[in-house]
Amino acid sequence: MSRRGSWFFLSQLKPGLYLLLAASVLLFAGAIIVDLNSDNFRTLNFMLLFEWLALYRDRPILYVWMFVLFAVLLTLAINTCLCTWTYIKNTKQSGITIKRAAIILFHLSFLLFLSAHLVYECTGSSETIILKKGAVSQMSGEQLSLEPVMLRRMQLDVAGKKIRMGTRASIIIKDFAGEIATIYPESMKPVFSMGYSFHVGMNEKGLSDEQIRVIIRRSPAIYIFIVGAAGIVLAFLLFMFSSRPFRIELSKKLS
Amino acid sequence: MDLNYGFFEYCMVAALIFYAVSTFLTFFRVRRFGSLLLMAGAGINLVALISLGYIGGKWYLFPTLDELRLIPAVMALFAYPLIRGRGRGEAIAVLGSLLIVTCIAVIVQTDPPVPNIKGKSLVASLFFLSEAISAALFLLAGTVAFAALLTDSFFMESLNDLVLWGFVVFTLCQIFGALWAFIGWSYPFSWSTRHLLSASIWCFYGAAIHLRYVGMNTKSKALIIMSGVTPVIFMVYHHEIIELLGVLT
Repeated sequence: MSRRGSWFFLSQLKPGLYLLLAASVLLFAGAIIVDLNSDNFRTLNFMLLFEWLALYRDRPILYVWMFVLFAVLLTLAINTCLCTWTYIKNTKQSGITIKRAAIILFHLSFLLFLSAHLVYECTGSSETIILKKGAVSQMSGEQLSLEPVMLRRMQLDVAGKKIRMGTRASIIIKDFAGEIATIYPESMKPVFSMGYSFHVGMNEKGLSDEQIRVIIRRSPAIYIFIVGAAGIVLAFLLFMFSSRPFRIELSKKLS
Repeated sequence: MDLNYGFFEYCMVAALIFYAVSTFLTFFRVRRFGSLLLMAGAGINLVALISLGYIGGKWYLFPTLDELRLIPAVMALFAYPLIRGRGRGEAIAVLGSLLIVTCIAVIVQTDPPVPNIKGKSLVASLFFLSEAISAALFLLAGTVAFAALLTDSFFMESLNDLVLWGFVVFTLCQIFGALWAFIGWSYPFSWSTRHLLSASIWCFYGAAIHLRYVGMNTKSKALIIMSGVTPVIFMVYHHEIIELLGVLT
């Protein structure tokens, strides 16, 4: 197939459909692979993809699956770009409607999500540290020191039973430039500060009352995810508004 | 007064009986009364779920969103317009799938739920609610596609609507899920069975909503949509399937 021919082929809807089906099958197979190798994949949640691939170089099945998945998703992203561009051109000629705007926004948000995933897997840093109340701990690789000054285990009393509801902490953080900040993270309530997000770990096993497990993460992908998510929510609202039953209901209410 | 777990179980059995009678009546073309019983069953099913949240004199939202029991209620609510206005074959297929899902919900034994740390955030509840709605819509779409293949009559209007709205709600569910995973575990996407299955389902139904724009015969379309039920079942009943496989092996 000529170069122009392959671009033309990729700008069609049908290859996009087959690519989505192929991605679905690969992800389903991946779910089974992950089920059988859950410990190997759990480490990938806290590592960059390249580091992880280097660690598991003796497991070709994991390599091949990951490579094929990324190849399919990359081709899908190119296909979505080309199809969306063609759709925008056609829309410009035939006139824009709310439904079409929602469809365009949805596809652009999908592209943002895919790129966010790529950025997320290839950049950023994360570290899990066990902090002790009153002691200063250093984050390795990053010049950031942390000192928890207050820890409080939260409990809920339900019918006489105490249920663990996580930990609330007050931590003083200091970066390499000497900038100091006090943060108040809590289980299920992370805090953003100095370009990092600070999460209190859900797993409290093996920790004393004076200790807390904190996950510190820095990833530019989070911001792309937020923009993508906002785009999808907006597209959803526009789509809802453009649907006929909704408009009929709205006009009834307004009249 | 505290409602105990027994009340919940009795309610689920009552809902199953209502659904079964509704199916029976619809089969014998007593549609109006059948649909009334279907709604009554859905109401009892929802009451059962609400009772799950009433623990120690207080009501909590998170325990009520038990996906296994929420899916039949949502399916019943969506089945109502389907059995009122569509063909008999489609109606019976839809009610049949509702009966299977409800039977599983009644048979599967789980511990009484308690409020926990994972449910501290509202997005967790929104995630489970949207996942149950989308899973119900996908299961109904699979059933309607199955009925279409069996009866050789094509319900493309129902199929397109079910798949489209299922996909839209599932997309929102993925956003709630990513948000929940980030605030709870620090990553928006985890390399776990659950997340990969969700991504697989999203891609599958993303393809399915584009089916109407490509030249493909309706039978093939119905077959593709029907096959989408496999990852949905695997996602919803993953825990039960693994347990069953463990028992069998």
